[in-house]
Amino acid sequence: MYNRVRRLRTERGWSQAVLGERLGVSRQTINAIEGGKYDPSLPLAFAISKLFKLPIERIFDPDKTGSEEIP
Amino acid sequence: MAAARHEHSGLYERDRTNLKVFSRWFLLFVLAFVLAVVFLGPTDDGPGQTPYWRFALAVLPLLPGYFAARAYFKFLSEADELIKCIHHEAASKSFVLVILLGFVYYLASQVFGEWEDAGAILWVIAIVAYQVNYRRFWRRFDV
Repeated sequence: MYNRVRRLRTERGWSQAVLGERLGVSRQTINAIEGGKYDPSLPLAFAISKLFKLPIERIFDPDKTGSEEIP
Repeated sequence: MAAARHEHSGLYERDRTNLKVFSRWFLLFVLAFVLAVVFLGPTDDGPGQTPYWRFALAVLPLLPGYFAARAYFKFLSEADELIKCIHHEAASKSFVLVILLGFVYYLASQVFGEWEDAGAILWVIAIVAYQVNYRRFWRRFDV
């Protein structure tokens, strides 16, 4: 599932460890989500949405794969 | 202040404590199981003649086994969701492996005869395969 987590995180200048800590998950979980290797649970997707103050559908797109590239 | 998470394993101190509790109960389970197997041995007792201590000894490993299972599920319920997912994947793949090996053993036993240590060997293979699979899957994400 395509997601914009990496872009949203880097825009805020957070490391994967910092984002993981804010969400209560491991750095490896963030890395896996950003790499498109793991789809987060619904509670975690909502937590991500709340943290970035964006609707879930603006962060995740089930019709595409991968992660948004950082220019 | 948030609890510290171990960088490589992705585990909180709480998870590591849960794992230690599980390890201790599992070790006790193995010891109790070995003791039961050694002391029970084969018997010539007829029906209704088996002494009560044999029943007690046969049931003994179930107690640490129950607590080990409870500690393991507590660890899984509190662990990070990716870690939980990988544990499930590792467990299911090692389970399938042991099922297949069980079938292979059954067929081989029809040709070469039964091997009384086969059950124990299959359990060891299951545990080792579980550990190997977990570490292999985790390495995919720990970059």
